[in-house]
Amino acid sequence: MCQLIVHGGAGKVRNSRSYREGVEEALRRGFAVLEKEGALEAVMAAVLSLEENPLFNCGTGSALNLDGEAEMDASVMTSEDRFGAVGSVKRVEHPILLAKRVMEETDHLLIVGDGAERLARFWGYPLYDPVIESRRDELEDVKRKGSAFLPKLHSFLGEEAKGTVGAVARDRMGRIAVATSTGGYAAKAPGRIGDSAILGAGTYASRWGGASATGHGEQIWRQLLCFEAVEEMRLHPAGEVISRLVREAKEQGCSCGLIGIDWRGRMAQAFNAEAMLWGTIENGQLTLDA
Amino acid sequence: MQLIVHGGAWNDHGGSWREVSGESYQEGMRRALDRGIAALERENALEAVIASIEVLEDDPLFNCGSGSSLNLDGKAQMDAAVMTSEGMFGAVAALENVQHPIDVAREVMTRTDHLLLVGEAATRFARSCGFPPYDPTTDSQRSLWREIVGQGQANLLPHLENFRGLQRCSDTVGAVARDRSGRLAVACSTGGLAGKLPGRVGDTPILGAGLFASRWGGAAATGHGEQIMRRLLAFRAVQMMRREPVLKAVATLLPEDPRTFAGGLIGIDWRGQIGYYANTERMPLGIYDRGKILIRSLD
Repeated sequence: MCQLIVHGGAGKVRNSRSYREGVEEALRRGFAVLEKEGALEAVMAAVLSLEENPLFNCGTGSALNLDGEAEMDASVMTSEDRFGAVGSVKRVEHPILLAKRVMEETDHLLIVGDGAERLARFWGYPLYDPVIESRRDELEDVKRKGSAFLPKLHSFLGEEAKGTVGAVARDRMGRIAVATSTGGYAAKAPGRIGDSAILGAGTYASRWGGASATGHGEQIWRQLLCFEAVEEMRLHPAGEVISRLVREAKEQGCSCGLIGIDWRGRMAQAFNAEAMLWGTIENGQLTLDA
Repeated sequence: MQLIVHGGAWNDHGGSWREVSGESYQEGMRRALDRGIAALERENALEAVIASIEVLEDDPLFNCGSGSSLNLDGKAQMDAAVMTSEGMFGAVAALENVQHPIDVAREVMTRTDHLLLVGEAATRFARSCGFPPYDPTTDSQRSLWREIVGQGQANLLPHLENFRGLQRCSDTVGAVARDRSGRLAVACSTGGLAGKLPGRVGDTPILGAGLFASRWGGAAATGHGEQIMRRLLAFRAVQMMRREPVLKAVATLLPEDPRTFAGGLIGIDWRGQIGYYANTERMPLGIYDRGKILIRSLD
């Protein structure tokens, strides 16, 4: 029995057909390798597919910071307690690949900024510009409307600016892996890192389960949402844990979505934003909702 | 009112790591404690921890601010963070060329919606807040760097493999305070591991890893950053303080055997009880509790 759950971000309802197709594609690409290659390769394949797709706020098509640059965060973690992350990387095609190599080839957990980009070049990833035109328009729009709020934008932006992607998988051996990738949100301060690069905040896995979060990055981090979810999965089913944490998060003003799989292979998702794109696949059976 | 300050936790590695007598560390701890106490009495917990950390950042014996360990490039890339029991948090990472990273972390907390700013953009943010350029590298850290990475190799990335495992135990400094009104604050600052990869971020600026504060207590960790981050050490310690004595909270989370993970943890709980623990040879401490001052090195 293998499971894979993917989300494409929480926030306002969007033109759903093409987004749903993007989530479906990510699920299919992840599931294609889940049985043979395991949970880690499955979440990588799913997130790589979403990073390639310009509709999603990660990799190509990332939201732009105040300087007009795509500045991306990504992390990966496995139930064997392996973790790698990059933060604030600008000119790479696939931040999630860099995160995986930080996990596999360095002594560190998180590498940021210019140092991370130098590692990317050292590992042979070419310079890549992930900026797309519609994100430039979005930035101009946000700056125009929010000029009085910069750089205290959150209160102004509300629900609009979310859209991290993430995937959680469990393979036949019971191993669990989680991957999360994001462009952050439009008009964020340069150098800002949110929950997606942080162990326990946007990404967490242990033998008891795995979880990936999306939404208001700073609030998710404050609550160490994914760590709390996975800790609770030890004793409670994923569905119960995730619904409760997302409900409690809302009470504390944290707009978010959360997906996860527990050690018994139960998948779950919940969100308190207007919408979250998500899908699951188990035994070849695909379920989508948005 | 309580204040506890630590100057890092480390093993002496046969004496080559730091050839300094315990006396001079104690001198630095005393100054940090004095400044912290003055701020605690006059103002509040937040001002106290910031004041203490500023003193240690100015003291070249401690691995933060002036005297920070240098990365593989030979640059001081510093991390710092501050958090209060009301949930306010600000941090900087891979920050270069400032005198007091803790002051920049505080500006992130008060002037932005963000929690963590990193890299060159964080340095720009510091300038926009009015902090002038400042070179925190010291001769003794430069010679330690040469010893670690060898002479004349400016770009060592191709030799990454050779340096795995070479990095030594770091020694973040940290402070936790509780003021008259029962509010808690925690602050940490570090130069990170000597010979670390450029851009590497450890536990110090990570909410939940290197520091945490809530109504139940405040905690600051020091030691091998990656291990602290994996364990979310400060977060777990503060969670435990809700029901357990603070000493238990700081002591049970660290393994007795420093070979699995060497480090230390300090904390103050909601009742004003102070706790500290390290499994390393050295951990300089300054403690202030209801008018009494205690300076010591845990060893």
